[in-house]
Amino acid sequence: MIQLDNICFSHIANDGTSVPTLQNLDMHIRENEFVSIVGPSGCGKTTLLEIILGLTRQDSGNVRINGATQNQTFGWAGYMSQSDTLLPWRTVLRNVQIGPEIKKIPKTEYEPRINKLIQKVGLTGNETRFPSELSGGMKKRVDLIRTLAFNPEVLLLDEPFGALDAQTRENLQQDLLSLWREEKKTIVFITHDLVEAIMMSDRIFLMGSKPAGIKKIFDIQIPRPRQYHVQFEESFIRLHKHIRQTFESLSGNQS
Amino acid sequence: MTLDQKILWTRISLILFGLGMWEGFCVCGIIDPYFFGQPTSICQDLWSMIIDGSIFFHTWITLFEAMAGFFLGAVFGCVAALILGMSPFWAKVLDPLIMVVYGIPRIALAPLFILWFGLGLASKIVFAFTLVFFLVFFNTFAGLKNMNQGMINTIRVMGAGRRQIMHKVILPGISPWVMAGLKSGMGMSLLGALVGEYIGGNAGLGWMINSAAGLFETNRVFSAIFALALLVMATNAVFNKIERRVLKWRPENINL
Ligand SMILES: Nc1ncnc2c1ncn2[C@@H]1O[C@H](COP(=O)(O)OP(=O)(O)O)[C@@H](O)[C@H]1O
Ligand SMILES: [Mg+2]
Repeated sequence: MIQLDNICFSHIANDGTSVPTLQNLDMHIRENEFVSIVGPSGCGKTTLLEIILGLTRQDSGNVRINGATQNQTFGWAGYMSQSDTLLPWRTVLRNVQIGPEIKKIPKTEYEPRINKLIQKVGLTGNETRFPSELSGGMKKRVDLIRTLAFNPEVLLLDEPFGALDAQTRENLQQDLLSLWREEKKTIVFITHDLVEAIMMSDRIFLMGSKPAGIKKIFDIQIPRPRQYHVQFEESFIRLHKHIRQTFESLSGNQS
Repeated sequence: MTLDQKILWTRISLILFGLGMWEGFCVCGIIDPYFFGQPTSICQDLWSMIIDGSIFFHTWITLFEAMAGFFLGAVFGCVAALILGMSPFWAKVLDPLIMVVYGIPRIALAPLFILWFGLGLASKIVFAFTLVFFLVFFNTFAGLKNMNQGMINTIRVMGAGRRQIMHKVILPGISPWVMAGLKSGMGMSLLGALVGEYIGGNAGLGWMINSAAGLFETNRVFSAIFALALLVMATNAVFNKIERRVLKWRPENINL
């Protein structure tokens, strides 16, 4: 589905020097898979996502989406960026509609889907509110269903639940998992929270410090559906400990 | 009485008190109405100009000049900023030229405009235009520089082309900046029309003020100023209404 071979990328800093961010990165994401990317902050996770999306061009290496070379082809993925990018002049409903609008999908076709999504994440009754009138959690919900509204095959989510309180975060995790169960999609999920990564993913890709590649891949074989309390089971804790130690040894020998 | 009513009545009383003092001083001979005007005479003068319609004519002339300059300046300022915002090459080429032209005090150009475009409406419109253009241009340009890249990226990823990005993200995104430019542009366009009329004209409130002052018709000057104040209030009220509609998505209050 998404295949990255030998990706290298350097940022050009403001003083003109080139700072290597990604080095010889290989990655293969299968169809309908839920994968997480975990790595220390500043290691290049967002950069990696932008390269997959075609927003940033890699210096060398190959990105292939469904076998075709990624050459600034857009419209195949839903993207939720790390920062708040809801359009503040649009109401909740019209924010969610923007994807189908851009794709010129007829209203009769997308309306039922959008209504279902709004209901699903508990935003019913807030359709005519503006983003400035919403809580942080509600904004993330709107953003999440906005990426889903035009029914893309792939979702790329950059620390989507990063700044939320634990309760809201768990609800959103469960919402996302159940949406994923209903409509088979490929999801690439960036997080810095290992528990969250284990809870959600089929596989976890661990990145090292900058300049980074994929250092380790973990298969998470905890049976689904996974409820909140699986994180207290012994197998979960053992796995968490193991990934944690690997993570620390990787970050440790860099600094 | 509600607080609003209280505020209103206090305000009216204050105005009446001020006018009464002014009138009183004139009657008692403390100030000379020949130089300072007298409220009752101003009312008479205004009334006579309402009867013969001349006050409406001159107000309309000034309003027309200001509005024509305003709309031209707004459209050209906005379009120029969008073009330069979209093409870094031309922005670099034109940057020093724009700064030089902007640096010339526009008032220094006013006599030239009278020379080129005559004593009629055209010279005032051009003068108001040059004032409004730069205000709208710089505001719109600043708005573009402050666009949220994340928003553009998110929409581009959905498959939006340049045109869709332009009218679904960029235009609404810069609207608060453009509105701010238009708001100061409104005031500037009136100022442009007035100054144009002072320097060389044969109609309008600016011309009325200038020629009446030359003849020591102080009451006439005050009549024109009164009409001007009403004009400014009316245009501001209309503008505020439009602004509230266009920017209704913005949070109402920001506590500083
Ligand atoms: N525009 C930029 N110019 C220079 N360096 C950048 C720029 N953007 C990001 N970087 C650097 O690239 C590295 C990776 O950034 P990013 O992909 O945002 O990391 P992450 O998402 O993993 O926290 C960081 O160390 C950052 O300093
Ligand atoms: Mg990031």
